[in-house]
Amino acid sequence: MTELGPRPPFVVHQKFLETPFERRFQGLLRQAWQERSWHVIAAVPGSGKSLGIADFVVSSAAYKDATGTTQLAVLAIRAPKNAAREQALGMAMSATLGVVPRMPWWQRRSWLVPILASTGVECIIIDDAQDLTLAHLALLKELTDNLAAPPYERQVGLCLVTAHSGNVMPFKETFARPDVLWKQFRRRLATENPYCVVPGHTEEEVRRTLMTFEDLYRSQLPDLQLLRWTKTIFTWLTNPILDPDATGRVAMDHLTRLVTTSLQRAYGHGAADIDAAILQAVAELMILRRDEITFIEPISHDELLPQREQA
Amino acid sequence: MKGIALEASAWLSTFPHRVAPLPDEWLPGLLLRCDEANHWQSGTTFRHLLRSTHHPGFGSGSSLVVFPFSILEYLAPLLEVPVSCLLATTYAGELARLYAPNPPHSEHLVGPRRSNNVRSFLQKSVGMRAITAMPGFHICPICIAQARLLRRTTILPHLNYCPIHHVAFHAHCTCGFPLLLFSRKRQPFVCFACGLDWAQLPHIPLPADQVTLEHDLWAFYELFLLKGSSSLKMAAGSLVLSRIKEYIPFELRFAGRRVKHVASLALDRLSLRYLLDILVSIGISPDDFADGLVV
Repeated sequence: MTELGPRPPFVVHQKFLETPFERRFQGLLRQAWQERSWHVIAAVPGSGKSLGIADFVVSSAAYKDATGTTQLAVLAIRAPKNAAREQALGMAMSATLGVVPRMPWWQRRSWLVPILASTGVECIIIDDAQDLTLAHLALLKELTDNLAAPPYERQVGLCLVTAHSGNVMPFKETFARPDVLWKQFRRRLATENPYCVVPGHTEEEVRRTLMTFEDLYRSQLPDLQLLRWTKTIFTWLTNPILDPDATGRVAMDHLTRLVTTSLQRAYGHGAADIDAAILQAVAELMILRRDEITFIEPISHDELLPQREQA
Repeated sequence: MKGIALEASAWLSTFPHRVAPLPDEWLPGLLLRCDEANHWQSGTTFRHLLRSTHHPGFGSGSSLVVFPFSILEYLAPLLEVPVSCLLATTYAGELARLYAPNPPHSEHLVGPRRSNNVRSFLQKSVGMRAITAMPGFHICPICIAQARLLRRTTILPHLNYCPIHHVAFHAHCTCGFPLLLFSRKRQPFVCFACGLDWAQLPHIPLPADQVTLEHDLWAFYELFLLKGSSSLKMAAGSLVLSRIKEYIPFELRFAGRRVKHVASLALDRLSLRYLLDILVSIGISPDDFADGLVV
């Protein structure tokens, strides 16, 4: 271990990383946008869907200029939680556009159509779509149908991005029901890839991601060599506790947690690289001691007094 | 003015479509353009401002010449424009200069409030506040057609023709109903009764016998509002006092009342509307001010 002098606090990079998962996921979003097609896109929790959506929306070059022109080609919202009525979805869509004066729901509902047309919406992405209700889906259909009809004649792509687990494909059963609404919904789904599952990272992809982490953190840990731990990290992160569906893939959230926590610890010890002990301790924390409960002892008043005096 | 990117915090604190004031635009016109750009009913932005600032409303017969600073301050971030740009859509700055040290007030320009021109049953039918029935509200159909523009000049008393396009201002639609500034359940810039777009109102040219009067009125306004100060207004008052003896008693051209006496003290407190009426009625022209203030 190389001993270093006093260091500034460790900085965790918050940058969006274009990982292989994100390339696959954003590729589907892009396809839906370009072809105005409808898809249900599923991935395991923690794989980076929300971050990918945020980055995708930002890169869609949305802007509001002072001459009254607003461009928002990709409108992304998160499905309302514990709000089953259609108003909740309508309000969420309105809120992404900015400040909207108070108006009754019947008025807002009809207002959404011209405003989505005038802001140039070409693709609607709904994150956490597993929380959508029948009323929400009916509203989505109504809005997109109205946009497709004259005078707007605007086809809009739709991505219902969901978290999934097991072998259950969200919405597949719902859309297969005989009700007219679901038949109409199913008909609108893309011919190609209507239901997609975006898998996490393979071992090779983990290796490439670790390479990116090395570049990102080398300024703080000069001797950092993460690649040599690829196999070990992949094995730990595909442990049944972290990969309960036995996909054999690594979720980005797990990988980031393992790496950044290990780096943070190594940095805290004054090291310039991580070692097996640190990595293993963090992996154990994530796998074996994941649900461990920590009791935080109350700090007595007497213990605080000397510190105050020192201060 | 810069565009706002999605990742900027201003994205969520601005209206979906932003509008910026045009040169010489009147604030209520800007609010109507904001309504139109955002597909809102006429007066939506105005009502939002009143509600959000807890403003009690302007009351019947208000001329909306001057707006409270709190409303401008609230509106500025919604459009992401400087407050100074919004202040320029009122006559607050000009009136503050002209009537210093008094704070600017609508009555400095248009005189005491008059009753509005819309009957109460009509106000009810369009579900509006009394403010929407602004007394003497009129528009230039060419300004509307070209840029959906309500100029500040449309609120200047006595002017009956657009000083830019030289066509008559319209206070009524061709269907006979008065034009209302804000009318709920209608799109902006249309007649609340028949839905006719104000831009489609006829263009009635300025008749030859009105050219001088309209020109003089406009020149007076330019003089007082653009270059004016309280000393200029006092000088105008002195000019009036020096000439008025030859005319008293006389009839005011626009107000139609007879003037038998003018006190020198009262002259300083006259509204611009009344002052210009006296100036025009006793034959003082803007040229009398041309070589400095000749008293």
